Order: sequence, then C-alpha cells, then structure tokens
Amino acid sequence: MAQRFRLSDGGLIDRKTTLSFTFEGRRYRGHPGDSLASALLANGVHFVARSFKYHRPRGIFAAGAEEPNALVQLGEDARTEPNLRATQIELYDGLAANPQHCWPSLDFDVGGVNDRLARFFPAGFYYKTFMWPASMWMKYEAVIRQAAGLGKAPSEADPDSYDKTFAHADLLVVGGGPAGLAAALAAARSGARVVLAEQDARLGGWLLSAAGVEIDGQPALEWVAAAEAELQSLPEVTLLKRTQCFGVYDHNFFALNERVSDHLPLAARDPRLPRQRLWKLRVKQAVFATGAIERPLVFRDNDRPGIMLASAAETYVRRYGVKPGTKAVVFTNNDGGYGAALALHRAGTKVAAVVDLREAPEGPLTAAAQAAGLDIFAGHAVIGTDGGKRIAGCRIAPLDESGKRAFGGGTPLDCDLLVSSGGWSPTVHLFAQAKGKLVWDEAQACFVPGDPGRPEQRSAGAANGAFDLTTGLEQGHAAGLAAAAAAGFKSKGRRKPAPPKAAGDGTMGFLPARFLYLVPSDRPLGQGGKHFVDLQNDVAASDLQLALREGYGSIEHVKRYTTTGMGTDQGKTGNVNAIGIVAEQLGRPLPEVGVTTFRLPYTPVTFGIFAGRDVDDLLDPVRTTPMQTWHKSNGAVFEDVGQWKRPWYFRRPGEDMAAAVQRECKAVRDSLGLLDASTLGKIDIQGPDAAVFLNRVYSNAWSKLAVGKCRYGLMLGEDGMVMDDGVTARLGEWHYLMSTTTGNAAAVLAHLEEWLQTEWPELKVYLTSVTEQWATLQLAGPNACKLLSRFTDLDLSPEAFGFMEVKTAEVMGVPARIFRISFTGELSYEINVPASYGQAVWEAFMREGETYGITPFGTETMHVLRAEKGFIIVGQETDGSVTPLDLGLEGLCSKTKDFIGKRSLARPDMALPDRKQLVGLETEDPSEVLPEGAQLTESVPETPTPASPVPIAGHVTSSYMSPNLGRSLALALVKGGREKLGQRLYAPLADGRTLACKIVSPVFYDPEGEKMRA
Amino acid sequence: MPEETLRLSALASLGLAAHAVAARAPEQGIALRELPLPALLNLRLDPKETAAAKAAARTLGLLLPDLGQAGLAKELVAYRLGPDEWWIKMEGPAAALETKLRAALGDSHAAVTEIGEGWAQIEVSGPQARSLLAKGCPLDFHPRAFAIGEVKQSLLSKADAVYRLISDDDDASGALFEITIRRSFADYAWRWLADAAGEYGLAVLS
Repeated sequence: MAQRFRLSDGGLIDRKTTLSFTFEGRRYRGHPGDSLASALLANGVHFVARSFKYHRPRGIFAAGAEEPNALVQLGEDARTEPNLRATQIELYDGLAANPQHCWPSLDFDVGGVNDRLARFFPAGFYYKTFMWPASMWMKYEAVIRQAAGLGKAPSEADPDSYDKTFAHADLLVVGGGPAGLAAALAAARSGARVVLAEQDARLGGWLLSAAGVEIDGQPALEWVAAAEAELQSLPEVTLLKRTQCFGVYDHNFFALNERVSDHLPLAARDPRLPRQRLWKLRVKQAVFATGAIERPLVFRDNDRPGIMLASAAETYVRRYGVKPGTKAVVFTNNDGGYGAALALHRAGTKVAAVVDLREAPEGPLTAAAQAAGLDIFAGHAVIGTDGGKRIAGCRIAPLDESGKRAFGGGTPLDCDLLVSSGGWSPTVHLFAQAKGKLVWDEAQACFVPGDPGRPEQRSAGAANGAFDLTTGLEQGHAAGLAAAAAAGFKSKGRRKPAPPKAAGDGTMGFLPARFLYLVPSDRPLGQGGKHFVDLQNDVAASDLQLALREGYGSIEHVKRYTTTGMGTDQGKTGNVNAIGIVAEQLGRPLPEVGVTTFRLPYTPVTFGIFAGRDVDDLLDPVRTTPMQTWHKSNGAVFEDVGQWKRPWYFRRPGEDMAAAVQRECKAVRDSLGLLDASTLGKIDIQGPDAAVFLNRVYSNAWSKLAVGKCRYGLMLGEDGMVMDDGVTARLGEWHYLMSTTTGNAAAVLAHLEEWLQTEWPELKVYLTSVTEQWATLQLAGPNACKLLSRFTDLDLSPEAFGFMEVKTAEVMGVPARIFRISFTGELSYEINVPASYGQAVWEAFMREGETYGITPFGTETMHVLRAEKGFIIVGQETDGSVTPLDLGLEGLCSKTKDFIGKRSLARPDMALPDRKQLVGLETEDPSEVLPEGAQLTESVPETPTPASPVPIAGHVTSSYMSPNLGRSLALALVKGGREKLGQRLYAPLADGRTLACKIVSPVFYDPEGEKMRA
Repeated sequence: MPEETLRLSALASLGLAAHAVAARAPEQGIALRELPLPALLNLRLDPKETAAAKAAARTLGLLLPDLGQAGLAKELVAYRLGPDEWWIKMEGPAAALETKLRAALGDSHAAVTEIGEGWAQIEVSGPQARSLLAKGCPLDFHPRAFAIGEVKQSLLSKADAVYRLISDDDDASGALFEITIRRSFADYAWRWLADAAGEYGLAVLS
C-alpha cells in the first residue's frame, strides 16, 4: 500500500528500505527511522484509539513521551504489552500493534454509546455510583475495567530476558538535546565519568525537528553528530540511547530503563542480549536537560483525530517526512506556533488559517508566516470542531478583550488537521521528584525549577525555562562545567572553554504569547461539546468546574476526584491547563493553586527489569551441603529449611513418604542411621570472657562446664520467649563452639554480635561463623559406636568417651571433631570433618555400615524420633510466645545469674497456671494421626454450628505415626496442660470428624535416657 | 595427612571440567575459573593492642594491612575485612600457621579460626569483568574506585562476597578479580555469574 502522506524528500528516514507492519490486522508500510505513529500518519491513519471513558475516537496527538491518546497493545501472545505510546515505538519489519480501548473493533465500538450518555458520567461518577453496597465493589470493578479497557496483560510467562545493573558516575546528564549535549561535552572533556541518557534512539532532541538552525557554524544535526562522535571517543563516557531516566531517589540515585532490543524485529534480536535493562545509577552530580512539552489549547471538542500539538506536526513533517494532513488550521497563542504553520506550508499542506489568540501577532516566526502569505486571524479562536473519526472542519470567531467571550457563532473552515499551541511546560518531573521547588514564571506561563532538592542537581535549557537555543546551550555548558568541577574535575587547557554558539530561525523561543487556559465557545461550558483538559482520562473543563462546585478546593483533591493528571501519561500535556482553569474559577493566582506531586516513573516501566535475572533457578540462592551430590543420586526428597535444601527422607523404589519414614525410624532405633546435620549453625567463640558471655546469652549456667564437655543451651529474647536452642561445647580454656538451629544461624550470630558490640563491648570475646567449615555426619543407633570404631583410633568406650563429651580425632585420617550428643534419643555421634571431605567420609560410612544395615535418614525421621523423646524444635513447639516454663524447661533458667530475658520471665503473667504448656497427646484410636496445627477443645463441640467462639484448650504442634511405639503420638501446647495429665481433649477436624485424645507426658520413649547414655 | 583426592570442591556438582578450556577466546568478554580450595585463617584482634598486633605481624611476615587492603607476604596474603578482622590466605594447609599464630599471640585477646573449608573462590576476568560484577554488586568497580590490592566485602546478587582485584591490564585481557563466596552459595553464585555473562560471551577456564 502506498504511503500517501509521505513527503518525497526530507526527514531522518531511510526511504530506500521499506518496512511492513500491521495495525489492527491491516498491513501498512513505513521506513527505518519511523515511529509507529509517524508510519501510521504516512499511511493517512490518524484514528488509532478510543478514549478511556466515553470511547470517543482519538488520534495521534503528540510525537513523544507525552502522548495521551495513541496507546497501543504491541506484539502478540506471550510478548504482548499494553499501553505503549505509538509515538515512542520504533518501527521494525513485522511489527504488529492493535488498538486497545475498543470492542469489537476500533471502527465499530460498542462502548461508544458512553459518549451519548456522557451527561450520566460526570466527575466522581464511580465514587457516586458504585460505592454501595461495599461488598459489590469487586464486581463493579471487574465490569468497569473491562469497559475501560486498560489493555491486556499477557496470559503466558514472559519469554524474554531482562537485565539490571548497578552503575556509578561523576555526572548523569538526562536528555541528549542541545543543552544536554553541551553539558555532557563540557564535563566529559575534563575527564569526568559521564553518563548521558537519551530516551530517543537519536541524540539531538528538538533539533531533529528543526530547520535552518546552526550551531558553531555547522548545520545543527552535523554539530549533534560531531558531539556524539566526540562523546563516543571518550573512554569515561557512557552513552545510553533509548534510555528513559524514570526515577530519582535519595542521595543522587537514579533509575534508568534502557530498551536494548525492543526496536529490532524478533528474528533479529540477539538472544544473548536482554530485552531491556534497568540501570541503578549512583552519581555525584546530575544535570536535567529534559526539554519541554508543548501544551495544547483547551477549546470545544478539541479531541478529534486530526487534532494534534503544533510541535508534533512540525516533528512529523521535518523529522519523519510525513504530511499529517492536506488542509490545516493552526491555532496558537504564541509566536512558536507559527513554526508548525511554516513547516506544513512548506510541506505542501494547505494552511487554511492561522488562528491566533493574540490581538497583535508578532515575533520572528509570525513575521516569516506573514511573509509567506499565510492567512492569519488575529484575536480569533477556534470555538468548535466537526467530524467523527477525523476532524472535518472547525469554526473560528473573534474574542472580546478579556478572552472570555467569543463573538457570534463562528465562521466555518474545512480542514483535516488542526494543530494547537498553548505554550510550553518545562519537563521538570525529575527535578520535582527530587523534591526541587518549582516557581511560576509569569512571562512564559510555566513552572520552572527554583531551589533544587539537592545542590548537586542542576537544570539546563528548556527544562530550566530557557527556551532560546543560545541560552540553552550556555546553561548546559555551564552546568556541565560546574558539575565536573564539583566532582573534582577541572577543565583542561588555559583558555576558559566557551559554550557552543547558535544561529538561525526558530532559535529564539516561543514568545510573545497571550495565555488563555480555557478558550471560550459560543455556548456555555459543558453544553453540546466538551473542552478536554486531560485527553487520556476524558476529563473536561466542565468536570473540573463541577469538582470545584462540589467543594473540592485543593488541586490534589480535584485531581483525585476528576482523575485529571492520572493514567499512564500523568497529565504531561494537560496538568498546567487544568491548574490554570482551576485557578481562574477560584479567582486565585495560578502559582497559589500549585502543582500535584510528580510521581515516578516518568513513563511506565515493565516489571521485567525489576526482576532481572532473579527468576526461575536464580530466584533465590539454593544452599546445599557438601554431601548434596550423594543425596541427589540416592533418592533424597528435599525439604527447604531457610535457603538450605535438606534431605527430607530417602525414597526407595515403590515407597511413599510414610513408608520411607517408618522404615528410617525403625532402622535408627533398631540398628544404625546416618543423618546430614551440616546445616546446623556453628559459631566459634574465643576469648577470656567467653564463659561470661555464654552465661548472659543463655538462660542456663556455663561457668562450670569442663573442657571437653557439651551442654544443651536455651537462648531467650529480651521478652523471655525461647528464640533458639542448641548444644555448646567447651573446646578449650577460652574456646567454645555453639550450635544453633539451621534456620536461625544468621539471626543468632547477628543477635550475639549486637549484644557484644553495643551492650557489652568490654567483654573480650570474638565470634566467628564456622557453619560451613564443617560437614556434620550424625551416626545414630545402637550400632553407632561399632561402626565409628572402624574409622578411628579413638577409645570410644563409655568410660573414655561419655555422653555429652567432645573429642578431637582423626576419622579416616581426616582431622575431625566428634560430639557424643543425641537428638534422636539413641546412642549417637556427630562427626564433624572439614567440608570438602564430607562426601568421602559419608560414602565410607555407607559402605562399611552395610553390615549394620546403615540407613540414611532425613529431617522427617529426625523429627519423629525427637518427638518420641519429647525434644522440642524451636519454631515448631515454639512460636515466639513460649517461655521455658511453658516447655517444662524451668530447670534451664538459672536462679543465680542474670541472662537476656530473665526480667521478662518475672512478669506475673509468665507464671499464670493457664498458660499453654507442652504436653504429649495420644489419640484414642492409635492409627489416627492428628493434623499439626489442629485446635483442641475440652468437650465435643455441638454440630453442625457450635456456639461461637468455641473455647480452645490448645493446639497440636507436632504429630507423627511412630513405628517404634506402634501408634501415633503428638506434642501439643495445652492451657494448664501439665496439671491435666490423663484428661481427654478433642480435635474437631476440617473434614467434620472429631478425634478424641488423652493428655500424656511429652516423653514417649526411653524416659530415663538409658539408650543415648549407653 | 588425609588424601587430597578425598576432597570435593563446592562446585563439583556443576561438572565444570567437562567444558573448560585453556584460554578465553578474543570474542569472549568474560572468563570464569574455579580457584583451588582455599586455605584461610580468620584472625581477630584489636590493632590498638599493639603487643598482639606486633606478634601477629611478625608471625605472618607483614604489616597488618589497612581496611579494604590486602597485604602480601611470602606465601600468604592478608585481607583486612573489618576494624578487628583479617583473613590470612595461604597455599598449603592452615593448621601449622594456626598453631604458630596461637603460640605467638599467647594470652592476648585474639581469635584464630580456620575457615577456608567454608568458602569457595571464583576468578572473574576479561574485558567485561567490571560490567559483569556491576550487575550483581553495588560497589563501584571503576579503576578510580577499586585499585589493585584492594579488598571489599559486599554482595554478589543475593550471596555474600569478598572482592579482590588481583590485576588490571589496559590491553585486551582486562581486569582479574578473585571473588570469595560461602561454600553453600558457590553453586548459586557460579550459575548467576554464568547467566549474567551470557551477553558478553563466556569462557570457563580449567
């Protein structure tokens, strides 16, 4: 299909190459250098969207990030992405885009009926209509969302990869227009590390759309090319094109989104490269050279396809070689708007009229337009437009002196393009995000940067209200030099470096102007047409006035009530007009009304870049023990304990979990089992005050523990609640080794260091984590001693090596620490060998242990066996609200010394008889296993609906089937439980059954501990 | 002494040897290498306790380096990790030096702990080494901010990491960093580095 509106020459597109793309399934052609918007316009397509609320036809309105209308759904299936601005999508071959706010199609849209019902959808419509009953809101919301159509999220996993990186520099320059280039050059020449971020694929900013501009005696774009080449050649410069700086955070931390591959056809994307990259950039200095965004004029029915910003029309003509219409009306309040009139005129568009709000138009571009013979209507306004899916004409009428009234019903003019210019708003978003103060520039009618939030952040060029090129270049140059100097870089050479010099038409800014925020019509506001202020959210001037009439006086309230300034564009084109209209209505000066908060991101950012590569296998570290390879190849099923993978049980062919655990439990009690206990935390404690330290951090006493002996310790928080437990051994006079639970290892070390460093710096104690230094192999079972004796010369007789002792020895010639301690209640040794030997020793134990039917066991079997013994697991029997007394461990709370948590235990509530206490439970039916977490009652609750609340006697903390006892067993926390041995309790289950059980002692097996002491 | 062959490295399960090469190809931006199992002693002492500091320095044969610095002596390197913490890395087993240090420190308040088995070391080199590390670490790796001989503790993505810049050549070989990672995180760290290096081209060195 021919590109009927493509100019035969001019622009920064490559006409020799033709690209094919589709929009709503229809095929079009464009060229490299096009945006999706410019390519659509080249094909005569203006109507690309339906509006959010009224579903009115909307066209391409802008040429950059500020686009409120032309949001499209790009790509298909798993790669589809909603709400992208057609003006910022680079065209590539095979691109497929679809409109979004419409159903079933753009052309025939059912939601369009909303437009005719518009008087039923005033501001605050949702709040007024859908709030009652509150329970229905979720249902309303689903319908509203469908009707509003915010695009579709992909339903499949994202097949693309994303990257994120930290970065550092002396200076970040945001914006690669003339001021930004001047700043980057000035700073980079001094040797400073400079990052230049430009949202576009090309450097140059508005120079890409300008004509007849010269800088330093060269055509502007040649100067830009030379600047780019120089920056590229400097090793300390990072040039980031297609990169949006979207957020400013504290202490000069910036977030940038680089679109690495999006501009390429799918087949041409390098699979090694990410689709997009997040830059987390920390700098010493920043220069905001972010340019400015043109404001439209707010006139009646100013939203039809074919109505756009004057500067956008200029960009489409000059940068993209596209004629956006055949017959244009230019509506302006300033000299700058004439630039568009001249560009259109020279491109062959018939300029039917230049309608100028100013009574006496003047200025350099005005003069050029007069010289070109354009029809200028001074003191006139567009008072209405006609057309459906494209503007067909407008009416213009003279205004009175106040600008508040139009005379007559207007003169009709045919047109298929209407461009408007209402002045310019500096892009102060980043400046304002950084808490910089904005001030109102009365002469230029815009908010400009005042006091910066941080002295290291400077604004330059149009972003700073300097709309003429010469001043912009000077400001950029000066900001770059100042930033470099502040970062410690002096400019080289003896002569003071000079800023680039500009010359040519269109370099003088946009003044003079006559500012009117609301253009009057021949009918009262809100009747028979709409003056749109916020195109994306369908907010009209009448909605703002309604909000004010209903009592919303603050601009932040007006914003929320009307939704003006919300949405993906955050009111980039509409906000100042909205503030102007509100100020006028309130009769207050505009700066007093003020601005709404500038929130990040500047433009929407895909979630992918925040995830980066931290997905799938890299979502979180997986910690493995030195024996992991063996576990994996021997049927281990793993359990996550913190970040660790621990064998849960070892499955043999044909077994389910229950069968495997029963087998493992039997094997340990009957002969021999082997457990990987490497993950338990190990803290090496050295220093003359080590015993004092232990006395303070554990509730039990340590002074009398002899060298070579071990003791179980209970660690409490300041609140007196149990926080951790474990065995600590005394290795030497001043040397201890503490063990912690697997999940708490890091937290316990941090807890100990905090007390040591902040409360007891006088204690001479050093702590070193040695968790990973050692692989820990736990041999457990009556045959443990027999097997171990084959590997070591150590005398293992009970007389030489008793229960709760530690010895250093060689095992298979490997230096080892052997602890005779037991968590299973069996004769047990924990053999610690240097981590790298762990698997070799494990394999040797397995080989030699065959005689005894050695059985590797996992954490589940360990849990069953320790429950048979009534040993607690911190985090299972405790939940942060359980004291040693509750657990029956008051014997471990020393009466003679102070320790962390002791004062809290003295609180009266800690001794109440009805606190939940640890007990054992036996179900009446020994084959029933209580669910862990089951609530317990003292009587059978009435069915089917017991009186609420049911009095709860306690809950089950651990519950297993024990093959050794031939029945189920459970541990529970029961109110006053220790006084209630033998009493019946009931566990009403979710499935409707109620299990009866009896309170028993929590020690089910070998209560005297003869086995582990053997 | 036990047999070296009984030892298994933290990355054994990755089977790196199968695709390891002798040298990085010019078009590859990154080379990764698993370094031999380190022998490391953790030394804690207050440098204001001059007797202890002097005894340690004499035994090690170097001046205890300042914060963020590594000090080289014959057959060992000392890394200063904190106000009162050093790592001593050596070639052979650490037990002999541990005994010597303990003896030299006598009754001074100091701690000497063998920790090498708990850590793994990975060498990252190549012209893109700095870009690669920046992806996972908030430190500034620019030569102006991270010089040869410096040692810094930080993160590599979600794992603790100690970085040391060993060499830095202006020519195509680029910078060479040694990264020390906790043993149980080494597998994660290696896979993370290999994934992040994808865009530069990765060589695994033997």
